[in-house]
Amino acid sequence: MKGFKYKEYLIIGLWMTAAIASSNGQDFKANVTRNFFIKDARVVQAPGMDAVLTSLRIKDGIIDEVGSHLVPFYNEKVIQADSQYVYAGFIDALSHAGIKKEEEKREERREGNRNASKGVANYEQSGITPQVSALSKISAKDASIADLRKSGFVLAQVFPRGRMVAGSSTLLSLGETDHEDKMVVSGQGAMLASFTPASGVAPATVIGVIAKFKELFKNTALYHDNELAYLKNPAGIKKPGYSEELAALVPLHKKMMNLYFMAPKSKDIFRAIELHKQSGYTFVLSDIQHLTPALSKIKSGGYSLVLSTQLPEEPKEEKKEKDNAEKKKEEKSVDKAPKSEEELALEKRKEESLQDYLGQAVLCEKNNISFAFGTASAKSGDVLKNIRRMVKAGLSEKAALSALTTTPAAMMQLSNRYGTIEKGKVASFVFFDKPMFDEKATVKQVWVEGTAYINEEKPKSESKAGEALIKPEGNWTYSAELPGQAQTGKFIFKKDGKSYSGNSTDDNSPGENFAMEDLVIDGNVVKFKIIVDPTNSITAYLELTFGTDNYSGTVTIDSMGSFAIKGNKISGPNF
Amino acid sequence: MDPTFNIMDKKLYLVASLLIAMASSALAQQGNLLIKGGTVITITQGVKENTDVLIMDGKIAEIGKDLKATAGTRVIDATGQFVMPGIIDAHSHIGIDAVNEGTHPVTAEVNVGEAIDPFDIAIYRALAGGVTISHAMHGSANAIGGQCQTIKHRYGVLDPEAYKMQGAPRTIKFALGENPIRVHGEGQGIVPRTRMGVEQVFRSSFSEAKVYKKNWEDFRKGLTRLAPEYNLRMETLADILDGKILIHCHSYRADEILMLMNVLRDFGVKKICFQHVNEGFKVAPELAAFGASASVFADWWAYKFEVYYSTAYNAAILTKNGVVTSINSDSDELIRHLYHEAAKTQRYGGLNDDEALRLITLNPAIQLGIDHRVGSIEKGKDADLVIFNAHPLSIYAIPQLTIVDGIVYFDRNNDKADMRLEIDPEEKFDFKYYERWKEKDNCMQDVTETLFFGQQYHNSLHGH
Repeated sequence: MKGFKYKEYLIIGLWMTAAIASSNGQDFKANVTRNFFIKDARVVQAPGMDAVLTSLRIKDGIIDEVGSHLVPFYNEKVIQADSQYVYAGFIDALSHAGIKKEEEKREERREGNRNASKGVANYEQSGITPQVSALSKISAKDASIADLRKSGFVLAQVFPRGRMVAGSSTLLSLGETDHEDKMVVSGQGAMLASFTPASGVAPATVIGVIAKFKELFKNTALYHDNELAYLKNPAGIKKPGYSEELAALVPLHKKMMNLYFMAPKSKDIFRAIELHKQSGYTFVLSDIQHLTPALSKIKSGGYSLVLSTQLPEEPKEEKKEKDNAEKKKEEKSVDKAPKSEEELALEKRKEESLQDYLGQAVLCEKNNISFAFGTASAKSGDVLKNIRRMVKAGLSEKAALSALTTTPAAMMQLSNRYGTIEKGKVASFVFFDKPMFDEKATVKQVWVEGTAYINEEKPKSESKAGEALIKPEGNWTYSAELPGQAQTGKFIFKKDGKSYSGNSTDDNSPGENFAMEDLVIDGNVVKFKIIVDPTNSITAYLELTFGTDNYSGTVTIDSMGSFAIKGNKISGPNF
Repeated sequence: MDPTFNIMDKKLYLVASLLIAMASSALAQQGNLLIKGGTVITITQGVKENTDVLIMDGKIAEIGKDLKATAGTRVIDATGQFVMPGIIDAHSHIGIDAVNEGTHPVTAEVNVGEAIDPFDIAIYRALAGGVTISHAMHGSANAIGGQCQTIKHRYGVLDPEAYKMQGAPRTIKFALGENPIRVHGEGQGIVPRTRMGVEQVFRSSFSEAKVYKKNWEDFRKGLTRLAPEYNLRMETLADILDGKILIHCHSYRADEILMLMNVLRDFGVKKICFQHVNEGFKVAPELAAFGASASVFADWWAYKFEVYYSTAYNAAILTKNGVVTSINSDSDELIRHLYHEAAKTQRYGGLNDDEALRLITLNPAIQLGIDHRVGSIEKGKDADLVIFNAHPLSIYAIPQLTIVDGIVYFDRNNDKADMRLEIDPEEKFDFKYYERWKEKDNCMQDVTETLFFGQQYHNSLHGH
């Protein structure tokens, strides 16, 4: 085999230039052929099956034949793939791919809403927009589509971003096109809802949201009944008024559409289940990160789930001590102290909790609860890493692959087209260099409806962030323009060897120190976060652009918005 | 009957409610216990020395001497200890995720019972203070606030639904005076801007609800063919007018208290409990004549202008005038020592033991409409009990065991350091950090503004 390696590269090289869609959006008609013969791939046809050395014949985006005895026809481009593992392309059951995050100025909207409404909000202000279709928000050029595809996804159920009722989904094939309409697999989607409150107007709290849902369910039913009553005998009565929102909800009432309800934590799940009882709609509990306390209710309710691929981060390795005399002196009092019994007990519970989070999919598998994966609340780059963490925690590879392929295909009624590698199905695959659950396996190429996308090799670099072009070490003032007040204080940056750390003080709370976390210096830009209120887990994210003795930038605070911040150098480290 | 259900739905609904009933009875565990040889403070039938209490299936089965339990029943030796009914707090905000939907002067549609937080450590702390039931209330930002929820402190149960006391009447929060005026009048420039405005909010809301109710009645009778719009706020107000919901009203000043009683008289509403009611002592006979009850602080006032004129004799004066009175916490700290708060009425007003203990047991139970179930130690009542090492009105009293439905939920001898039920796997420890933001009441929760670097400003000096 080794002797063929050179040849193989040559062929792949040729094929790359001839038949592969380039990433600059070329027209695919330029390709020589749409007929391919993938030779000697290690194909996992369906979840639970072994990787078998076989060949695939692809005709115009459809799998024409699967078999080890096959030989290529004269008009087929032959693709040698015998070092690669091939799976059916992954399906994202809950996605926002292609839809930009709206960067709203929350405070402004809050004030605007408040002034406009005087306590009475309309549907849109309340976050009820069921008439919105994801397709109207998707942009084919959005980078998030390619990002998701790079992780092996070929299809996504894309929902609009929104609040209480965000809108309906579009099933999107994740190929590269010049227009989003060409990506649509099915326009008839599901509806997305969540407990997200409005800002400045009703509903501002979870109890307000729940009350609003209950009212909405009833009014949708009445709207439908009134419409029927009127059509049956319109004589003598005024036509009932039209409501875009209620009309868009009627398919849910008639159980012709599913409601994907975002319920990340167990309390959300319990609340969603209560709403399910009220409405009678078909619920799919979605974006789930932690369900353990609600397990028995989920099971007895027969719900199908969309688990989030978001997982809590592993605790950071403690920084290795360096033989730096200065540092030793500094840290003697703080870090050298042995951990108290209390601290150790807390850490143990935290670790147990982490294991519980990692084991959520396992819990579903053991209890025969059907689940797919959704990336809406996760970074697409973390998807495979996190699913492998779940497998490490005990999830079977079969269940993991089902949740990425056959289960979402069934949920979206696409089992006859997607989910497995079989004759007649869509030629959408993902190629790995090793078995996909191997920690070192990487996605080499992704095929979407017979078109291949190659993942470029990332140049390996040692440092995560770019080089620091500035020396921020020392003391700096800051002044932030927050609503109703200016916040002032000091930032103190320190350099330990190659890395930086820092903390900040606040002129209004003398004696208190806030540590900078995730401090990154890239060029002349410094980014870090500060947990300003641990009780309510409120975090400030800062991004500052430095000059020699001043800087300016923004501070973004959870649930408040972004504000300008600037400051000057007070002293360097040696003063 | 709900007009939106068709016949098919009705059947489903029946099946569903049967299932729900089964599920919740399974969730609310009921235990068997035999408590031997304690001093039993029954509240209604005097104090019984060296007496046993037998609990079967979560209910008090017998009170007497030398009682025997079936084999396997846990026996608790209460020799030298005091057994009293579980303490009931008629005003708290623990165990819920949202307190104020402060977006409108009337938010009768919301219900804090729909956002129960089973992980709230304050529930366990309340148990450690002998409190078995609390009235989780909506806040006081709105003239007509949200519906409240009577919860049993079954800490450790993870299903929020299991905290609800099944069969407890529906209750709703009203608020008079400065809070609704500040939030809506000053905050949004709408009614109510004055105390007169607050009265008008009640009157216009009730009048609107009457029209709403009439429209639906016409539709149900077939007088109209198209259904009116469903409005949960108006549905709830109509239920108040029909006497289906008990009002608990945040109040301080005597003039406003009289005002609300007049409004209720005009609309035929009979049941009301005034909360805080610091000037209740000025209108105690009027409250008694109306049949209104009062839930007060023992000695807490002067946190804002309208709470200036107060006295620690308030509870005693109200009691002596025949007003059913309770002492409440409105705080996750105060709830841990309501027995001390009750004892203050012996220093200020000279109430006897029974009268003082009624303030935190049977009287709050009456105010919540659950006195047939809890509030005293009587055969057939729910086995919600607390065992003290000393007389509960003694300054040396410490709760030892707290029991709900015959299940021990707090045991001082088995009180682990970390009783949290839910841990954030990414939580950060900061041992220097002191939870100073928790040093506040919750009456104005969700309407405060959090500002940069941890400063939290209230809309006023104090929230009540």
